[in-house]
Formats: sequence, structure tokens, C-alpha cells
Amino acid sequence: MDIYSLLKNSGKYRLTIILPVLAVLLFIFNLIVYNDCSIYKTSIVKVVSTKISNTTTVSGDLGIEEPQYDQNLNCIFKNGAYKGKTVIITNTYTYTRMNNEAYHKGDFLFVKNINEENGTLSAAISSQKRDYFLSFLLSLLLFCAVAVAGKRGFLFFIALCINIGILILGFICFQTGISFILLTIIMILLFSILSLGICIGWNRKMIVTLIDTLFSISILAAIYCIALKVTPEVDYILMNYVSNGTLNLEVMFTCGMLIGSLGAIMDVAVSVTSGVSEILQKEPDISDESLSKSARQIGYDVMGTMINVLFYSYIVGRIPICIAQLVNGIQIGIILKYYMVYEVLRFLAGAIGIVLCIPISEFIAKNYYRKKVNVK
Amino acid sequence: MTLFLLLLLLVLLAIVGRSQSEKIVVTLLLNSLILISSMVFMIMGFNIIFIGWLCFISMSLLTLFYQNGINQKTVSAFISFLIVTILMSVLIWFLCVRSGIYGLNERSWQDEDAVLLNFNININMVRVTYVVLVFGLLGAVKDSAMAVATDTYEVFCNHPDMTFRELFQSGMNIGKDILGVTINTLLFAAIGESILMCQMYFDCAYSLAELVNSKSLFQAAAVVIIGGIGVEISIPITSAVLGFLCTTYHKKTNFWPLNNSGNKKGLE
Repeated sequence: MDIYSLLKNSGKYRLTIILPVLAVLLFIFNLIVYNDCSIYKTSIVKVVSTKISNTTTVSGDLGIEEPQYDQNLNCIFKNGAYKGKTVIITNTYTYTRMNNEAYHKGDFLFVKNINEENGTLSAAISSQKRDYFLSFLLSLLLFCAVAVAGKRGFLFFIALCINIGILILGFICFQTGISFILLTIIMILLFSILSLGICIGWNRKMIVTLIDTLFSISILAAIYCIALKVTPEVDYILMNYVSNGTLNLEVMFTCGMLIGSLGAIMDVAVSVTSGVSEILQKEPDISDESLSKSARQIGYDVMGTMINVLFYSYIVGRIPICIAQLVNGIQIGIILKYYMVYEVLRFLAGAIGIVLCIPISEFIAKNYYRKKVNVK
Repeated sequence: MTLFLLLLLLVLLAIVGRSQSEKIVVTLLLNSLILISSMVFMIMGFNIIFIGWLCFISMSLLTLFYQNGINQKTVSAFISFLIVTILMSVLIWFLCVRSGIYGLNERSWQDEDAVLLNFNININMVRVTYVVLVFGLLGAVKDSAMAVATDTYEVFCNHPDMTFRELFQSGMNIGKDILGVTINTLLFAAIGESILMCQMYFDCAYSLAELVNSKSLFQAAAVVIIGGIGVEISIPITSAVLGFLCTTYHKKTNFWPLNNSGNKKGLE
């Protein structure tokens, strides 16, 4: 325990140097992103002051009355030919703000249709500049990761970036006409090797966990494909973001679902495998039955949690549009059956993957470690 | 299709899960029920944030205490849960108001399922989005807080004379192991969800400038990043709370009996 705490303390001293340096670097990075208007080709204005000029009451087809605000935005151009000039833009938003936005002092906006008449400028808002929010959130994620987990936190952040890089690379390859199924298989392999390597370290345990993960996900894929064959087809017409008619939506959706389940399956596989190896290290002579029992117990504990994680991350995101649909008189059954069907399918498939993973990883881990003990 | 998968899931749960499976199913059903009723209350015009917090607390009570029993682990997980959420709330509220994360994004308001709807509904979407993001935290933070609490408690049971400092450090060590895995779960769930969105960026030939400023990307990324930050700050907070409960509080009051298997004895 003494050497251990000493090691821990030496890490602490290093962290006290690294953390402020990292904080300063991230602060500079965010400052650059915040002031990067000049590298954009589109015109950007900054809102200097806002004033609500007019408030009216509107009601749509539903007969629900709500206030609607006209907002006068006093803006200043930050780049391009008009840099430094001021413009007044009127923005209208409703209380609901489902398909419109309110702007505040200090926001940056992209504008289009700039006109100059008798020395006064006019323009129309196209969208808000959000890159600095994104960089701020990412910096916070990196900073907290390093503060909590030190070097491993940093490695984990790098792995996150590489994972996203793999995704982008995969999509670039897809544009050249390679089949998406093949690409998904390659992506799943790369994702799981990289993530497990970073999370567990490059050792035997990682290979066992990797085999668990890949085995579980292939069984999940097989089950899902059988389900696709034997049950009536799902209608993908209402799937979001359909603009390319040549896409095979069924394949895209299935592959997306598999990648979505990957994280949860990996989590379960890691917990069960580490649990089994830990138990065998402490008690190498444990009977098969009690080993299975403990492995299952670990599995149950993770299972409930992971199913909940999937539930929240898939289903909860649909609440805003769901509320709008409910108010518009669409019944809850119809929403579940037609509009939320993709989320529900993803959730169910992920949950099946998690449940499947427990006996599979228990079996593989048990046999692998048992063999090792017997050989010795 | 949905029904088939649902039946399959139930059968698998019954075979594999046995004792735990009914708890999982009941929790899911009750959670869905709470979500639906929260939507109904929001539509009826109650204060959205109040309803959101009420649902948040009832859902976390349900997932923690019903699934895992009442004991030191779940109590410390719940306390750290509340602290994390209150801290993150500030960030989330700031993002909701300032970055325009609410409402439909540039793609989804052209969708067939949105285009026919009427959006003059007198329900403030800024607040709804805030509630949604707080709910999103729940799953991830529960996962990490419970993992840290369970494993640290196990260590404490084996060495009951550990000091607060030692307990805190062992909690942080355990946290390091689970940090990456938990955030990966969130990341891959988000990637899987946005596969078609990625393809859309290529189809519409988004430039890098359009991409990093687009609302759709920001909405997808914010959920993962906020969840990730929540997981990260929950690790030290849970370690500290558990350390406090196990050492200082336990010695002062002797209120919590030590037991190794909180799962079964929790409700006694």
C-alpha cells in the first residue's frame, strides 16, 4: 500500500504541472476559435444589442394562442467587405421556438442577402455560429478526463478522436462505392480493437474481451437478419435525413444499429471478463458452478444499468418532437408504431445484444482462463 | 418486427436473467410510464422544469433503489447523482439558452413527420430541451456512479479501517477503469443513431465550415459530450461521498450496518 500511494502521489505532482498548462492551452485554443470569423467566407455578424420591438399573439390551426416576439438585433459585421459596419436585423420567434430561434447579445450569426440602400445595410440570418460552443464542450471533456484519470484520460480522448476519424474515413470510402456492409464490419473491428486496447491495455484480457464482443455482435446481427426475414418489413420512408434515393435504407439502418449496440456490448464484456479473471486470480480452485454464479451476478448488475443507458440515450431524445405530435392530435400508439419505431428497434436490438453477451462472455472467459490454469 | 424483437428480448431475459429480469422489465415499464406522463403534464401546461425535476428524481429513485436496493452504495450514488446534475444543470441551461440547441435542426424540419405539424403549441422548447438533456445524463451518470460506489464499497468491506483519503483514492482508481468504457457506450450509441446523418452531410456536400456550425451535428455531439463530462465529474464526487458516508458518518452514527451483498439484503 505504501509504494502504491507513493506512486499515486508522484502522479499527483505531475498533474499539478500538467493541468494548468493544459488549461492555458485549451483557453488559447478556445479564444482562437471564438475569434476565427476572418477565416470564414460567409459574412458573419455579432449581435451587439437586442430589443423586443413588438409582441403579438398568434394562433395556428390548433387554436392555441401563444405570444410571438419581433426582435431587433443591432449587429456589427465581423468579416468580409462590410467589416466594422453595423446592420439592424429583425428576427421573429414564438414562445414555443420549435422552428425559430431567439438570439442574445454576443451571439455570432451567419447572414446572407446583404443589400446596401442609401447607406443603410440590410441582411437576413441564415444560421448561428456554433463552432466555439463545440470547442468549449470538447475542451471541457478533455480537461475533466485528464483531471480525473491523468494519462489514461488523455489516451482515452485520443481514442475518441481516432474513432471519429475512422467513422469519417469509412464514409469517404463508402462514397467511392465500396459496400456498406463490408465497411461496417471493418469499422466494428477497428472500433472494438482500438477502444478495448485503450481501456484495458494491450494484453491477453483484451483479446478475450475482443473475442466476446465480436462473437456477441455477430450473433446479434444474425438474429436481427432472421427477424428481418421472418417478420413483415419495416417502413423506412419516415427515416430522418433521406435525400439520396439510391441508398439501401435497410442496410444502413441495420449497420447503424449494430454500431450503436457495440458500445454497450463492449461494456458488458469488459465487466464480465475482468470479474471472471479477478475471481480466478484470487481463488484458482473455485468450482465451475460457483464461478458461473459469480460471473452471472456481475452480469446482472451491469445488464440492468446498461439497458437503462440505452433507454435514455435512444428514447429520451425524441421527447420534443413527441410533444409536438401529441399536441397535434396524433395518438401515442401511432407515434410509437410509426414515428418512433426506429428508436424502439434500436433500443430493443441493443438490449438483446446486452443480454446475449452475458452468457457468451462468461463461457469464453471461463474456458480461456480454465485452460490456462490447467496448462500450468 | 418490433413485437418479435420485444418477445425475443423478454424470452432471453427470462432465460439469462432469472431473478433480475422481472426487476429490469418493471423498471423499464415504469420509466416509460413516467416519461409519457411527464409529456402529458407538460402539454397540460404545468411548469416544465418542475415536472422535469420531479420525473428525474422519481426515475433515479426507481432505477437506483428498486433495482439495487437501499444501502450505502445506492445512497452515495444517489447523492453524487444529485450533485452532478445540479452542477451540470448550469452548463446545460447556458447551452440551451445561448447555443440554440433546442427545436428542430436544419434537416429535421423538412422531414415528412415534422412538416405537417403545427408548431404554435405554447410549450417552451428551451425548457423541454433542458429537461431532455438532464434525463440524458441520468443513464450514463448512474452507470459510472454505481460502478464506482459498488467497487469502492467492496474494497471498504475488506479493509474497514481505511481512512477517507485512502477510500477516495481507491474510488478514483476504479473510476479510471470505467471512464473510457462508459463514454464509449454513449459515443457508439450516438454514432449508430447518426449514420444516416453522416451520409446526408456527404450528399449535401457540406463544407467543413457548415459542418462544425450545423445544428444537427451540435445536437448529436452535445448529448455525448455532456454525458461524458457528467461521467467524469461523477467519479471524484461519488468517491468523496462514499468515503464520507463510510468513514465519518458511519463512525459517528453507526447507522448503516455493514453488509457485503447489498443487492439482496438491501430492503430488509
